[in-house]
Amino acid sequence: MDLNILTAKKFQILYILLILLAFSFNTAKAEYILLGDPWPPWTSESYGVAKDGIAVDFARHLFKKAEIKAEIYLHPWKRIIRMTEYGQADGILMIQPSMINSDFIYFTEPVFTGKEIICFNKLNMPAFTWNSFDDLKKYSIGTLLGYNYGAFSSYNKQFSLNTIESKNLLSNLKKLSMGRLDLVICDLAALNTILSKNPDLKKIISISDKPVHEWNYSIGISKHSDLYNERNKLNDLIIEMKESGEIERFKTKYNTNE
Amino acid sequence: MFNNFFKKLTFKHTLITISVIFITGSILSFFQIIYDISLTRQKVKNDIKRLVKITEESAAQSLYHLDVVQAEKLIKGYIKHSPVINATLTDNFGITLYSETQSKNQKMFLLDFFFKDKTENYNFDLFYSPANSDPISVGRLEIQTDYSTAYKEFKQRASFIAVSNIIQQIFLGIFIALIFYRTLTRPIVELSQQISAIDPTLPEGHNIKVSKRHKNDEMGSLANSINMILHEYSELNRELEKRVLERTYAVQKANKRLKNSLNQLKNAKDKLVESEKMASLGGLVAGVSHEVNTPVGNSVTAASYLYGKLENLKKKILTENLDDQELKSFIASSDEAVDIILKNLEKASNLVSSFKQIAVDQTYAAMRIFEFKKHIDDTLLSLKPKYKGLDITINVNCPRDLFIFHDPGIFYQILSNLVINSIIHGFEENQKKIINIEVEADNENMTIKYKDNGKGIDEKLHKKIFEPFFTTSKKQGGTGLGMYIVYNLVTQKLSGSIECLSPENSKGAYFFMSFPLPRE
Repeated sequence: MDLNILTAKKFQILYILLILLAFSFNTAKAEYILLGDPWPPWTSESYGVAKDGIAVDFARHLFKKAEIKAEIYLHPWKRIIRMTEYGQADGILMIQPSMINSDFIYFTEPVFTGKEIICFNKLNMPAFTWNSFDDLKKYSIGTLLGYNYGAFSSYNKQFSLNTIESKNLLSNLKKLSMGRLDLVICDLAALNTILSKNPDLKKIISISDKPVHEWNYSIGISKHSDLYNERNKLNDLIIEMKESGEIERFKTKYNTNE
Repeated sequence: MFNNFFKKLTFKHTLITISVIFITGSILSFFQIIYDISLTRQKVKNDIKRLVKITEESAAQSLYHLDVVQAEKLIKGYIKHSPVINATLTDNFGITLYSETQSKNQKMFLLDFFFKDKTENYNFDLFYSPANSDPISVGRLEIQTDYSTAYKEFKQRASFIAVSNIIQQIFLGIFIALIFYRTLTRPIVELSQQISAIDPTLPEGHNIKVSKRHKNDEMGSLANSINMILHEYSELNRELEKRVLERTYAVQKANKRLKNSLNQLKNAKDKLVESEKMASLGGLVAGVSHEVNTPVGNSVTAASYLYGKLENLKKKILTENLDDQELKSFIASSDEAVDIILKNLEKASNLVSSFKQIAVDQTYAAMRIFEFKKHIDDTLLSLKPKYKGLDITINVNCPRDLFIFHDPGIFYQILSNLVINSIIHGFEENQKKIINIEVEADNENMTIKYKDNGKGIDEKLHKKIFEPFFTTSKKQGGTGLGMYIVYNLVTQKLSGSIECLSPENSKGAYFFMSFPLPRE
């Protein structure tokens, strides 16, 4: 047999083996990327690899239970949405189903419930109450930059309330304590976490009974991702963890129920 | 005036200097502008890079956050930077976060040539580093610049360069021209004026002077060289004058010698002509002797016969043996002898008489009336010894009653020379030799046509034969003066003309003479 033909055949076999090897690496990966934005106590405070937070701890636990490998990163909200839309991420840690177009995102069973409330300086306004957004017109209100407060944001857009934006909630709360703001609208869980760490503020700040907005958080799964195929498994586990009260225990760790 | 100015060295120098400086300056300005353009480009590039370096973190942050508001602020900041006509922030998904363009692309006169690529694109990949993560690509910043915005600044600079260069070139040109004028043109003009003041015929004593300033430079050397040449020229002039005097003296001497030679030649020629004349006279004498010899000889024979008869008669008378018959016979013989003697002597006398007249005519030029036909006949008779025995027929066609007032010796010489020439040179040995002489005359002019039927004269020689000493038969004793004499006699003595022609329809020599007849 011709030596050249032998050599050529050897190379063909080697080539096929290399292709198979490459495929084997590809299939072995199966590590999904989940994204969230920095939002204590739900997630950690800085961008990059997510350290901890209620949603982070829960997701790690859920995926572990589901035996799905996943990495969690924190990025700005708009980037999260775009990364998911363009297939650079497989899912979003916490998302309100009503807040985003669900063409490319599948929402799991609700995981957490969120509540936005109005807090006020009880030393300055001990008897503050409100019934409608019209009642807020006379106050200066602290909000977070780029944050969507649902119906309040729509009303603000329409009637231009006296809102003052700030980069973080702590800053708003400090302003409130100093009397530079009359009211601050914020996430209840976030407020509780801050107040647990700042006892001075806790003495000054009080929360109105009527919430501004209340909603559920789900895990968002990209419909373009293979993770989408795991949705039922994940939903079952969520229901199971909810029913067992396991989810609420994640909140306790971050003092959100005080 | 201006024409002269334009021809001046100063003007030419100035023009050349300014031209050279202008061309060099323009080339330098051109390269300066080119260099300035590259500097401008480089400056714009550096500016953009610096600008991006300052803002890239902010741009990356706005891309990371997909913060349109911040992106807008940044882009507007870029656009404010004059060369930037477009700035775009695009995220790593390929979606434009914010972009703004402003049209600044204006037409640049001539500078389109310098700025071939007026716009330039800059792309910067932007990365963002979250706190505890590796940098991630968040998108890119695209900036497009248009150099036309830098045009104004560039134009001002280029105009300044061009104007300052032109001014500099003009001043430099004038300055150099002045230097040229002071150091070169003016000394040359002064030198030229001094040189033109020198009388070229009297170069002695002239000395070109230059100012002290130029004594040791090229002007000084030039003046020294001219002075040396002037000195040498003076020497040469003196030498030349001396030589001219010597040569003049030599020429005068030679001229004197030449004049003497000419006189001698003239005398020799006259002597030759005279000799020729004498020779013709000698011929005449020979002819006369020959012609007279016959009748005289006849007379002597008859006389001798008569003497013998008379001695016989004397003896018979003394011996008384004389009879009547013998006496009658003696008387008859004596009559006859006497008759012969008388006739021959008369003939000799006539001959001598004719020859005497011809000889006189030859010797003494005198104008008289004579019968032309007879004069021809006498002349031919005197020449008879020359052609006796040669079987030559000479036909004379001349009116019998033609009497003219002239010097007959001239015609004798003309005719004898022509006939002798025909005899000596004209005929071939065994041919029938004919000479025709035709004479025609009216009251004012006379023509003589002389023709022979001999070999003829080559046309090339028709004029040459009248030259002195021209002969084709030196060996036969020809002097070459015969036809020269004929020519002179016809043209000068007769005031006429003579031509040597080729006869029509025949061969031989043909001379045509024409001359005016003088009034008595």
